Amino acid sequence: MRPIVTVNYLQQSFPGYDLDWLWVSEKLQLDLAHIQLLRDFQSQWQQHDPRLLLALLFLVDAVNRGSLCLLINDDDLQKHACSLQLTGIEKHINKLDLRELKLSSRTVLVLDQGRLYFQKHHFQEALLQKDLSTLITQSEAEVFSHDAIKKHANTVVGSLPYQLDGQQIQALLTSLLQPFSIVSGGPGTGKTTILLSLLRVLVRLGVDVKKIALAAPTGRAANRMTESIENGLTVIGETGDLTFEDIKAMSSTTIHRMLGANPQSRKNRFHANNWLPYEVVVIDEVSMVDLELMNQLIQAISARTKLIFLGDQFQLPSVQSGALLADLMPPVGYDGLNTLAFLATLQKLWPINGQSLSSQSTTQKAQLLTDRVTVLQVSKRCQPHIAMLSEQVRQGDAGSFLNKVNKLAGDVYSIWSQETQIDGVSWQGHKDHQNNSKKLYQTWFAHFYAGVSAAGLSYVEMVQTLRYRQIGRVGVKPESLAVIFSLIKSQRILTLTHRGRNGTESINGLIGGWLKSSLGVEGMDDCFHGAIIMIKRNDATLGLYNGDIGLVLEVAVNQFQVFFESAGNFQCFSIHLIPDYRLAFAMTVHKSQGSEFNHVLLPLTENLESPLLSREIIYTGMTRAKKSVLIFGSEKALKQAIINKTVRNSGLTFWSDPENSCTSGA
Amino acid sequence: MQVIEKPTEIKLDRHAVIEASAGTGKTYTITHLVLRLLLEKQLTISQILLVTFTDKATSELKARIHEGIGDKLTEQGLSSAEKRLLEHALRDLHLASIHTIHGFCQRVLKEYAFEQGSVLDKSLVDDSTVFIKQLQMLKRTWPAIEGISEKLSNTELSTQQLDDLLIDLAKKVKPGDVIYPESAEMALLKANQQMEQFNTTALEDIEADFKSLEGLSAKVLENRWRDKLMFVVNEINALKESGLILEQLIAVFPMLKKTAKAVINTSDIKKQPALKKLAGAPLFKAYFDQLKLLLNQFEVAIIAENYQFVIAMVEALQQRVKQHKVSQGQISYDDMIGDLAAALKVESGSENQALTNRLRDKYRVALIDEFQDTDAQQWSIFQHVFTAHKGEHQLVLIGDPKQSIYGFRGANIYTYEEAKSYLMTNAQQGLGYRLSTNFRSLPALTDKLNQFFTYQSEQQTSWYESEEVMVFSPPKSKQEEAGGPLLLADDSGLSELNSITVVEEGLLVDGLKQQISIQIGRVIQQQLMGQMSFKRKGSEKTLDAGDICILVRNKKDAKPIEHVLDRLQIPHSFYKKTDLYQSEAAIQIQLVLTALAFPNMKKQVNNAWLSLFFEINTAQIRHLSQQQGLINDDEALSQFLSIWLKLKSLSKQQDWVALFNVLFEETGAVKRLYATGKWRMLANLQQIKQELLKVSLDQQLDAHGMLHLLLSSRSSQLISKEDWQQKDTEIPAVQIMTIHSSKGLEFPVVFLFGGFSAPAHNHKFCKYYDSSITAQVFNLVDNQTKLYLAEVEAENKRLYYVAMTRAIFKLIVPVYNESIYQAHNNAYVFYQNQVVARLLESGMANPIKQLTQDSVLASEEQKPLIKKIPLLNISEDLVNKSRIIHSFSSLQRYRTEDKTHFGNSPQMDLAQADDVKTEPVSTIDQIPSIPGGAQTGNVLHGIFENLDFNLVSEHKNLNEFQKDQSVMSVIENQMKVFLMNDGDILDDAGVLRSSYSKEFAAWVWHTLRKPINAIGGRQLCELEDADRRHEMSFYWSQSGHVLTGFIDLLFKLKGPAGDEYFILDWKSNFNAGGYAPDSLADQVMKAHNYHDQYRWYTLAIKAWFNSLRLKNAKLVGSLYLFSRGIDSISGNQDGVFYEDLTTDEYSLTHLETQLIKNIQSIGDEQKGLL
Repeated sequence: MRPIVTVNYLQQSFPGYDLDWLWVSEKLQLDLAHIQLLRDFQSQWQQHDPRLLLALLFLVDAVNRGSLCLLINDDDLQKHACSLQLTGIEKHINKLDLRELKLSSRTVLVLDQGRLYFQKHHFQEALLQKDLSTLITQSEAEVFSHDAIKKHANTVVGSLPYQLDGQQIQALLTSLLQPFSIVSGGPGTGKTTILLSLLRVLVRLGVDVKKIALAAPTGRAANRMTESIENGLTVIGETGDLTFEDIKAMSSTTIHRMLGANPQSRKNRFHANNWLPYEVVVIDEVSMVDLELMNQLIQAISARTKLIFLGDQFQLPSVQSGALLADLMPPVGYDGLNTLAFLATLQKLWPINGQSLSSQSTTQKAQLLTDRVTVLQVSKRCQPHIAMLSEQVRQGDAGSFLNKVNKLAGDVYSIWSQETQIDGVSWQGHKDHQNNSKKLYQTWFAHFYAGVSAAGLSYVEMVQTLRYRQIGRVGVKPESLAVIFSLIKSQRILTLTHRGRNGTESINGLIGGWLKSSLGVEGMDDCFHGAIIMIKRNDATLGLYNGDIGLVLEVAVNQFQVFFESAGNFQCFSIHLIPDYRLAFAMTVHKSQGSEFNHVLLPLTENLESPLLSREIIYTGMTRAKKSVLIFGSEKALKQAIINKTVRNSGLTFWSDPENSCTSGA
Repeated sequence: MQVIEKPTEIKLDRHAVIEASAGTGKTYTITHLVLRLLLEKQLTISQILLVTFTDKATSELKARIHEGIGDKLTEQGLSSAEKRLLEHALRDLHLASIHTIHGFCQRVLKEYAFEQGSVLDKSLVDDSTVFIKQLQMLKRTWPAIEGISEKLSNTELSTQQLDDLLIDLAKKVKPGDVIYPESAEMALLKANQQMEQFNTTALEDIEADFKSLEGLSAKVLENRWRDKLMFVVNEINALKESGLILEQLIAVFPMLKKTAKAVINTSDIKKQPALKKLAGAPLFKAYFDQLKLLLNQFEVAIIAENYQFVIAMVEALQQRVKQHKVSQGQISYDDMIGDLAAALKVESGSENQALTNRLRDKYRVALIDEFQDTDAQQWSIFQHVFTAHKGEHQLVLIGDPKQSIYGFRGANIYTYEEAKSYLMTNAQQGLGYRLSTNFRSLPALTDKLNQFFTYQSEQQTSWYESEEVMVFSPPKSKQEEAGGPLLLADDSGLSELNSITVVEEGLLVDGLKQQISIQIGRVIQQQLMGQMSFKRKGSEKTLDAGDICILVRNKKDAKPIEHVLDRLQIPHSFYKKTDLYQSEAAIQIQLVLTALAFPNMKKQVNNAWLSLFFEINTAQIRHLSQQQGLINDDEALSQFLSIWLKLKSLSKQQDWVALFNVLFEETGAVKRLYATGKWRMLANLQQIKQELLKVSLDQQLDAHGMLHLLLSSRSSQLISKEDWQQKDTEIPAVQIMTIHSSKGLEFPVVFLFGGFSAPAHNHKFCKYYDSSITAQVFNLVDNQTKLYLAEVEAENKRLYYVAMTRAIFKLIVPVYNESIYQAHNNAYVFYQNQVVARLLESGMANPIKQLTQDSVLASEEQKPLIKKIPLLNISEDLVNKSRIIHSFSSLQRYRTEDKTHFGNSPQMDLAQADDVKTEPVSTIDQIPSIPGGAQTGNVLHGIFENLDFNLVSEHKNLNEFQKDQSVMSVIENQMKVFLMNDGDILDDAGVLRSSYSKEFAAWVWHTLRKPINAIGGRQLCELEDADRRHEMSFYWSQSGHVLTGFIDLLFKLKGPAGDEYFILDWKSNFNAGGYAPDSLADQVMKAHNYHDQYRWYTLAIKAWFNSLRLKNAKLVGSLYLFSRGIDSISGNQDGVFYEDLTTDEYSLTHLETQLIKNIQSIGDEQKGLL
C-alpha cells in the first residue's frame, strides 16, 4: 500500500511554512519519497520563501500525474497562490539561481524556458532529445535502392489477398526509406498489415530475419505482436515465399528483455557502449513506453540500426512519467507531414494501380521528423459508428457525441438480445443507482454467460460439462475449450477503477456470484469452476504474463486447474502455482490496452473529480470494441470525461510551433 | 530501620519505607495494610493506589485483597460499621487502583487527558521499531553533514555497531544522565596533566629491575627495553616538548599503543606464568602501569574527539523519535512514564495544577511495591503527587534493595536509596521498617542462607550486613498454621544447601557445563523425583518434575541442561515467552502464514508446503508442478491439495480458529507430533496459536495482519507484559528459567546453573551511577572504571541473592576447584570468586556424592521410563467442531449480504459431522429412508444453513414445497457439495416412494413447520433472517483451558423481559427406540454425549453474553431437532429434545467448575499412566 501523505506530516516536514496544508494534501497528488526529498532539500535553503515550496509541491503533483515538468505560469498554481496572497511566483522563481540550491552538493532543480523540472527528468529529457536527433540525422543504416524497394514492395503488396490504401502504402514505403519512422493509428487502421509487409519486403531486400528485432513495452503486448504476425500470415496464406516460415517463426519480446535488463544490476546488457546487434528494430505500442525506458532504448540503438515505432498516439500514455508518442507527433496546426520532394519520391515508387498517395505536402519548414511520420486514419475493422464517435471523443466534442450516440430509454439496460443487437455506441444515461447498475450487469450476465451463444450453448452450459473432466487426458477435446475461449474473448466489461460500485471488484463479485449459483458450484471468491481470471504478474518460467486471461476449471474434486490459450493451443497449471491473479469478468481500461472485443460495456465512475474521467480513457475503452459499446453513466460524468484531456507537460520539441515555422519557412 | 514481625506495627499516618527480604511475606503485608487502611483510616478502596511491578503481580494482589477482605468479614467481633466498610470495599474492588506502573501512567494519561492537554487516544508502539525506523530517517540526512565519511570512520564502528550503539544509547539515556566523554577539550586537558606528571627520568633503576625479570632471556629483555619501551618514552617526551596537540597525538598514538603492548604482553604471560603480574619487578611494574594509564588517557582524548559525532546523533535521534511519536499519536511504555512525569513537572512550576490536584484528590495513600526496581522518573511522579503536603497523603514504599536486578532495564538502586532517605528526613518524618520473618523456606535452609550472605573471612568479605539480610523463621506452630513448608518425608539424601561437582579435571567451560548438567540430571532422576513429600500452602504432595527449577544466567546456558534432560527423558520447559517466538514452532507457523498472505508467490508457497504440517516432500511438489496440478495417482498429494485449498479459503474468510484447526488437526500434524514425542513443539504451536487467535479476534485480522502480528512478536524486544507461566504440556516439567524471570516465584528445589565464565566485553559502553555528580553515567570510553566494576559486582550479588532465595526446601549449587575448571585467563568471574570460593572455604554446603553412569543404568532398569501421554481429549464432538466467536458483528461473517457472495456457503468439513457414529442400520426396524452417516448429517446441516426459511412458510403443503425449484436447488447443491448421489427410496412393497432429495425436503419441511412447545408453539420458519445465526462459533477460556467450537444455530425470540436466546442443533440420527423426547434424552443424547455438548455450548454462550454485557439477553434453552422423527402435523413433540437452561444447574459458575473438574480428571487419568 502506498503510504499516505497527511496534513500532519506535511506540517511537520515543512515547519515555518504557512501554506494551506489541508488543500495541498487533498488536491495534490503527493508521494512520500518526493515529500521527503523536498523536506531535506528545503532545510538547506537560506531563506524560506513559500513561493518556491508551493511551486515544488505543484511540480511533485505534476510529476505524479505523468508530466515531466511544471509550467511555472501554470493556471492552478497561480490561482492557488492568489488565494494565499502570494504573488509573483513566476518572477520569483525566474530570479532564483536554482543551481545554488543544492542537496548533498547536487543540483535538484532546473528551470528551462518557463518549465520547472527535477534535475533527473530534465537530464533524461535533454538526453532523449539529443540522442534521437543524433540517431535521425547521423544514421548509417543501410539504404536500399529505390529500384529494389519498388520491386519487392510491389510483389509483396500485390500478393496480399486484400488491398492496401494509400496511407498504408505510404507508411510502408516511409519505413523502408527512412532510418527512423513512426506509424501512428488507431485500432483497425492496419498497423499489423504494414508490419507484416515491411518484414516481408525487408527479408526480400536481403535483411536476415535474425537481424530484425520485434519488441513491445509489456509481455502481453509482445505476445500479441507475435500472435498477430502469425495470424496475419495465416490469412495471407502460403505464397510459396521461402522466407514465409522464417517470418512466421519470429517472436516479439519485451523491450526490457531485449535490452537485457537485469534486476540485480541497474545496468542493462545493451546500452550506449554496447549496442543492440540488429539491423532493424520494430517497437509496437509505443504509447506505453515511458521516458526512462525510451532513453534506455534509444541509447542502445546503433547508428546502423533502422528503428520503427508503431502505436496509437491517442491511447492512454504510460503509467509512469511522459507521454512519449504524443510528444513525437506533430502538434495541431500542421497541414502536412511530408515535404514535396519526399512525396514525389513516394509517388515514383508507386505509380501503378493508379493509387494516389493522398498526403498533402507541407507548407511549413521541414522539421526533424518531417517525412518520418505517417498517421493512419482509415479504420478498416472498426464499426463506422464507433469510429466516428471515438473521433468525437478524441477531439473532445461532447456536444456532437451526445447528439450522435444511440441513447437508451430509461429502463432499457441492454442493446443485446437474442434477435437483434444494436451495433455502434450506445449510452444508458440513467443516474447511477445501485439497482440500475445491478440490473445492467444482470442483463450482461444473462446475455453473455447464461444466454445461448452463437455456438448453440451458453457459457454456463459449456463450462458445466467440463466439471470433473480431465481435459487432455480423457474425453474433452480442446475444441470445446476453444469455443469457450472465443466466448470469453468476444466481450468484456471495461471499468475506470477497481473500487466502487462500478469498479472491477464489485462487478467481478456480482458476476462471479451469479455464475457460481447458475453453475451450482462452491468455491472461494476467485477460485471456482468457471471463473475467468487475469494474471497480475509476469512469470517467465511458466510463460504467463501480466494481463493473460485464464479459465479456472475444477478437474477433480477440489483440484483446480487454470487454462490459458496460447497460439491456438492450451496450457494448464495448478491454481496454486500460478502468479497472483484476479477475476476478469471485468477489467480496467488500462489493462485492456492492446486487446479487442466484439462487445464492450463501459461503466463510468460518478466521482466527477476523478482524474480517470478522461478523454484518453473513454477513447481507449471505446476503441477496444469491434461491434458495440454501451457506455453507462450520467450525462455529467460522460461530458466531463470527454472534455477532460489529460495534459502531460514536457519540454520535448521535435516540431517547432507551426505559427512560427510558417512565417520563417516561407 | 525498625525490625517488625507483624504488619500491625506499621504506623498508618506516616510515610513508610518497608524493606522486605525474600520470602518475608510482602504481599501479605500489603494486603494487611490495605485492610487496616479500610478499617482504621476508613478509606474507601478507590482512595488507595497500589502499584506493582508486573501484570501477574497485579492480578495476584487483587485476588489476595479480595480473599483478605472476605476472610476478615467472617471474623468474629466486627462492628456493623466495620462490616459495612468491608462490604463496600468488596463491592468496589473492581474500582480499586491496582496497577503496574505503566498501567497507572497510561490510565492517568487517558483519564486526565483533558487536564494534561494531550491527544486522547494514543496507540501503543514498541519503541524498538520506532527507533530503528527513525534512525534510518536520520541517516538519510547524514550525507549533508560536512566531512561525514571521516566522522563515521573515526568512530571505528561498523555500520551495524554504530546503529546498535545509537539506538541503545538513545533508548537508555534519560534527561539528567551524562554521556562520557563529555568533551574532547576536557579529555585532552586531562591527558596533558597526566603527561606532565609522567616521570621519564631516573630510568636506570627501573631498567635494572626490568632486566632482572625471569622467564625471558636477557637478550629479549634487552631488545624490548631498547626498541619498545624506550621508543615509547622518547615519543612521549617529544609530545611533551611540543605541548600536547590533538592532531599530533592522533598521528602517533596507534604506533605508541602497539609498541607499548609489545613490551610485555599476554602471550608472554601465557608462556611464562612466572611473569604473572610482573611480580619480580615492582619498580618496573609501577612504571609500566603509569605508562599504561597515560596511554589510556591519550586514547580517551582521541575517542572523545571521535565520539562527539555519536553523542550529537544520540540527541538528534531522541528528538526525532519524540517528534515522530507525538505527530503520529503514538506512545511507548517508556513514554507513559516519561509523559506523566513531564506533565507533572510542568505543573509543579505553574499556577494551574489541575492534574496534580485531581490525583491528590483521588488518592490518599499510595503503596508502591518492588520499589527497588524503580527509576528516577517514576519516583519523581510519586514524590511530586504524594509528599508535597505533609499529612495529607501517605506514601508507602515496599521493596528490597537486595533484589534490584533490573538495572539493564533502567532500574536504579540509587533512586531507591534517595527516595528512602528523602522520606525519612525530618521534613517528611517517614518511618523505616524491616520485615524479618521468612515464611517461604524451610528454617534450616533459611539459616544456611543467612550464614552464606553474611559469611566473612580473610579472603571473603561479607555480602551484606547482617541486619540487612538476616531473616528468621517463624515458630514451628506458626509455620504449621500457615500451612507449611514442611518436609513430610525425605529419602533424597540431600541436605538443604548442597554442592554438586564433577570428577573430570582440566575442563573448559563447555565441558564443565556439560558435566554439571549430567550431574544435575542424574540427581533429579535418582535422588529427587518421587523421593520427597512435603506440605506447602496446606496441601501435601510428592515431589515431581514440576517442583524443580533450574536457574540459568542466560538462555544459552539452558541448552546443555535441556539436552541432558531430553536424554534422560525428564520433561522440562524453558520459561520465557519471548523464546516462544524464536522457536521452531513459530517459524513453521510463519511459513504457512506467509504463504497464505502471498498465495501466489511460488517460493513462499513451496516453503509452506514443506513445513511440518504437511507430509509432502520435494519430489511430490515437483510432481505436482509437472502434472499441472492434476494428481490422480497420489492420494496423499491430492488430499493435501484440498486441505491447502481449504486453508486458503479459510484465510480469506479470516476464520482463524477453523484455519488452525485444519492446519493442526486435519493435516494430522498434531497426531504425528504426539506419535514422535515432540511435546515441546506441540505445546509451542498451541501457545502461539492461542496468542495469535486472541489478537486476531480483537482486531479482525486478515492474512497479512496475522503475518505481521507474528513477525512483530518475533522481532519485538518488548518484555512480555504478561508473565507466562503456562506449562508446555499438561505434564509436570522441570522449569528452566533465567534468574531474572524467577523473581517473585518459589520452588521446592532449586538448582543454580551457569555464570561460569566472565561475560564477554562486548558491551558498547558502561553504565554506572556517579555519586560525585549524582548522575547516571554512560561511559563510551573506559569500560573498566571502578564505579562500574563495583556496580556490576553489587548487581551480581543481588542476582545470586534472588536466585538462592527462590528455594523452599533444597538448594543445589555447582562447586568446583581450580583443577576441575579455571575460568579463561583468570578473568574475574563472579560466580567462581564469590559463590564457589565462599562455599569451598566455609564448607557450609553439603557435597552430593558423584553419581555415575552405572547407577543411572541400574535405576533405569528399576524405574519405568516416563510413558508417552495420550492425546488430551475433552470430547470428540467439541474438538471436531471448532470455530470461534468474538463480537456480535463477526457472527455475520458467513452471511450473504457481504457484497459479492451469492449462494456461497463455507466449505463444509467432513469431520464436522455430528453423527459419525451412527448405529448399524440393520438393527433398526422402520421405513426405508436416507441412509445414516456423516454425509447425511452434513447435507442436512448445509440445507438448513443455506435455505431461505421464508420458502417454507410461503408454501401451503409439502407437495408444493417439493416442487419449488429454488428449494430443490439448495438441496441438490448441498448433496453435490458432499458428494451424495440422489437415490430412490422404495416403500415396503418395493414401489418407488420418494427420492433422497425429496426426502430431505420433507425433513426440512416438517422440521421448520413443527410447532415447538418449548418456544410457545412457534414454528422455526417464522424466524426472521436477522434473528438467526448459523454456524455460530464460540470461544471460552479460563485458567489456561480453552474451549472452542461452533453451534449449528443460535436464534433469538422477543420475550417479555428482553431477548431470549436458544441453541439449536440439527440431527439426522436414527433412533431405534423412537423419537419421543424422553427416549431421545435417554438413548441418543446420552450415547453421543450431547448432554455434555449443550452444556459446553451454554457455558460458552453465557460467558460470552457476560463479556458483552448484553442487556436483557438471556439464554433460555437448548433444542436438539431429530429430523427423522419430526412430523409437523402430529400433536406430539417427537423428534424434539429440549432442555431449559435457566436453572441453577446451568449457571455460569456451576458449569465452569464442572468443566475444569472434567479437564482435571482427564489430567489425573493421564498421571495414573505415568
